[in-house]
Amino acid sequence: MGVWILAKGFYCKLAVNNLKRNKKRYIPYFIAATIMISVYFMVVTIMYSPGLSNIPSGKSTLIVMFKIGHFIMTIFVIIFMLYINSFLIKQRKKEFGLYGILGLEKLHVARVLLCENLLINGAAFLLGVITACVFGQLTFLLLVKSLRVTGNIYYSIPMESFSITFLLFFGIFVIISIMNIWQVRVANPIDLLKSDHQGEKKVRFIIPTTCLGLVALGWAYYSALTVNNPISALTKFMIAVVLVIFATYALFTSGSIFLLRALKRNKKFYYKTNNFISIAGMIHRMKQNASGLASICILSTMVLVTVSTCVALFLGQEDTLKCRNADDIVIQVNKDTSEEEYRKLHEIFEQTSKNNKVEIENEYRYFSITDMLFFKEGKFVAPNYEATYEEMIPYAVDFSVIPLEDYNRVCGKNEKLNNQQLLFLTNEDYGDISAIEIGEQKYEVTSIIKDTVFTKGKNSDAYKKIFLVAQDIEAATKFVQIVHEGFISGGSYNIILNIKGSNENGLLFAKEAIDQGGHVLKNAYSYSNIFSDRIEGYGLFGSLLFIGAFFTILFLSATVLIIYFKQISEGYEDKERFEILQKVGMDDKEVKRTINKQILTVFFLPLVGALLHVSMATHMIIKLLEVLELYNVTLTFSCVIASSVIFTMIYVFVYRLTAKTYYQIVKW
Amino acid sequence: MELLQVRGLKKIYNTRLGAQQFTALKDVNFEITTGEFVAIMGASGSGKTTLLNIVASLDKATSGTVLLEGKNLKGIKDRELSAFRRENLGFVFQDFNLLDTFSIKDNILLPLVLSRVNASEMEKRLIPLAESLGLTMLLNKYPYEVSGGEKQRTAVARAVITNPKLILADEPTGALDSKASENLLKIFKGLHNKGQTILMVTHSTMAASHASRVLFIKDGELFSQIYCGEDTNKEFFDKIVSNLSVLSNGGVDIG
Repeated sequence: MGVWILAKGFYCKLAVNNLKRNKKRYIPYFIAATIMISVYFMVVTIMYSPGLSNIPSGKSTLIVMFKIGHFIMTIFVIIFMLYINSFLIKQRKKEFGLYGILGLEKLHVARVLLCENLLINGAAFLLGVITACVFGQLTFLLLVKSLRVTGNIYYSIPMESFSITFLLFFGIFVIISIMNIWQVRVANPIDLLKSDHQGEKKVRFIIPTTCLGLVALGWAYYSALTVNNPISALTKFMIAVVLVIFATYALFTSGSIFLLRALKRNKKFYYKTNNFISIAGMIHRMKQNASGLASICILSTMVLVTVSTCVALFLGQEDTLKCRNADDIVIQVNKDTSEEEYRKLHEIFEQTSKNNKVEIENEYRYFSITDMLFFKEGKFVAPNYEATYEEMIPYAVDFSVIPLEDYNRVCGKNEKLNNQQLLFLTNEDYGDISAIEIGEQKYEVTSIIKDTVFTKGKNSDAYKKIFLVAQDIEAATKFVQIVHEGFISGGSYNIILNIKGSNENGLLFAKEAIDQGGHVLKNAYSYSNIFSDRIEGYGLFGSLLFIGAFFTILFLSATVLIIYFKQISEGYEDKERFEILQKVGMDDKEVKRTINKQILTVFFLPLVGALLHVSMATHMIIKLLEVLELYNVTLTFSCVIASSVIFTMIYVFVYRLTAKTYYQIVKW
Repeated sequence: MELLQVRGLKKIYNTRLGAQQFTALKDVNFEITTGEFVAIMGASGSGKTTLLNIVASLDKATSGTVLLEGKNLKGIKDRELSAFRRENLGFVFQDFNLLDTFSIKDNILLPLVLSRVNASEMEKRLIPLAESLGLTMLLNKYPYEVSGGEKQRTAVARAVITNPKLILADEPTGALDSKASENLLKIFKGLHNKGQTILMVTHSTMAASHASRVLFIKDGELFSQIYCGEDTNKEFFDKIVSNLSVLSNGGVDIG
């Protein structure tokens, strides 16, 4: 028993000493693990927080967003922790071999490893949870602010935060321990001792992999640059992401070697002093670090895409909102609604506006039937309904046809039309449209009118939508039937209300008016209003921004850690190489210069790759945001540029920071 | 002709705080004539490696002079030093000092590339040299794929390819097994027979016995020297052993 305790103490002591000795590696690992744990904890806390049920925008949007985020985060955390661990273990193989030779049984080494793992992961878990609890309140307040929530919201930490976080990281701990012990168990000491110099992995299938990588990258870039409709952008985006990830790994691992070997084969070029050292050095570095560099590149790209889309959506939410709601309140009612009902509705609007301290800016109603036309080669033609959605998108223009009577009433005009004549209302430029021909039928466009209330709403102009004015309801119905054969739409009346007042009052007004109006209307009706959409938008975009921020923290800390590990492992090798080159008769200034050049190349390659990916993806991001009806290209573009600039600055800063450690190791 | 002249060489290391001084070399004087194969022997800490490093211009003496072909190493500017080293000296180290990033061939060519020799000239020099050192089949391998003896032969090839005036070898057999050591020493002897001047620091009596002259160094000073003359290898070996026993009478352990 005594011996057993002694032995146990010995393993722990050895484990503590190991961690101390390897602190250059384990402190960053510890910090990264702590960040992962605390971010994860906070996300779970927000997901299960009972305090958030009072959010006016409804908890559902937020919860769905966080659930998706939580799922992706879980996968990311698992992969990342395993990756970092494998990196650490690889570095320490020599040490394990030495233990074997010194007579520690594999079982003992395994025990030491387990002890180390327990210490570092346990400590990281504790600190992570404490950090999360401390910063949780602050985070929560920020979230509440970004969701623009007012009222009764309180912060509390549900039990699930502890249990779920613990479960995940305990699971990771178990997998890591098994993997590490497996590494030690299967290898013999000599192999472990030598593993340091087995660094040169054979890279296989260089040419096919390079070709595949190039094809994948070309394909991804091409589809990103040529995508022209928002809906297919989403699927294409997913495919492009997978292709880019594959291509990045392929080109970093094989493509780089392929290129360098081609350079090496050119003897005249290769056997020049600078090229000679650089090319051989780069081949070595790429063989060692290619996958790490590819990971940095992909993570950086993810950070950039996440940050720029989330920020663009958050900042552009008012644009999106206005685009979706050209007017404040739109109520669609059945065309059989009687004048009596309209009168009553109007009275309700007057009354409730007074009750809720808002002023009705304008109120009008008109009849319309809505369908689609194709705009091809400067002419409006009947749409081809056989075409697929993707084929339609570039040509499709929505139209609403309204009777002349309503137009004259709403706009205070006195236009005249016969049954083969139309007025054309738009706020876009379709050129000179003098007629619309559908098959045999020809409708004369008597004039093109801009800036009517139909196409220029209070909040935004109609986008890709036109209004046509026909002689009367009958003519309008006939026009639609000609355009869309066999389609029978009765059309409906639209009541438009625009008001002055705060969003809160507007919301109250809309609710009350529609609630009371519903009692008056005999037939079915539907409505939309900008006020409740705005509140919902706060929830959606606020939580999106928040999850974006969490992901950015995770991705960034992962990137920094990989960069850091790469620097120190290179440092140890470069030290040796530097000394040899000096002994063989290379100027130490020259040695420093070539090694510096290599370090910089290797370091900034992933950044350049990421910036290239992002610049290619920008067009696709813009299209994707159009799905969410964010058409503000300038905003999206500036978000991409700004996040790229800031990210580059952070990257350079991280380089400076890690370079310090590197130079300490190399001791120049 | 005197290729190398070492006069009154003194080297004092300051300890880290500068309070204590450690004298590695007190006063060393000797000459090496062109074509000689000289071994320097001595106990650990006797100053052999310091001496070699100063001759190699890797380290600077506190006082005294080193003349290579009458040229004072001290007079060479720092930025010309590495070029000077590259052109005049060849190095063979105990731990080989090959670069894992280069193939055997490129390791050998390294000093030529640094001296900006053109590619066809390199090939011309490389082929017969590799042949004579038995490296022809290994040229495209990497240092971590070959044995210790093969690595050391590569290092020798790298030292010789520039046609240096003097080859400096620091414990070249230190990391080799006896067969590889024997092989390497034969190569040195062969080079010596072709007229190559070699200065070798060694612990090994066996290695020293292949030299034409052995210098014994003790406590930072030259203790004695013996010439091979017409002796056979065996006779010379015995002489060295008896000299070493005199050397160690002071209680110094010889490894």
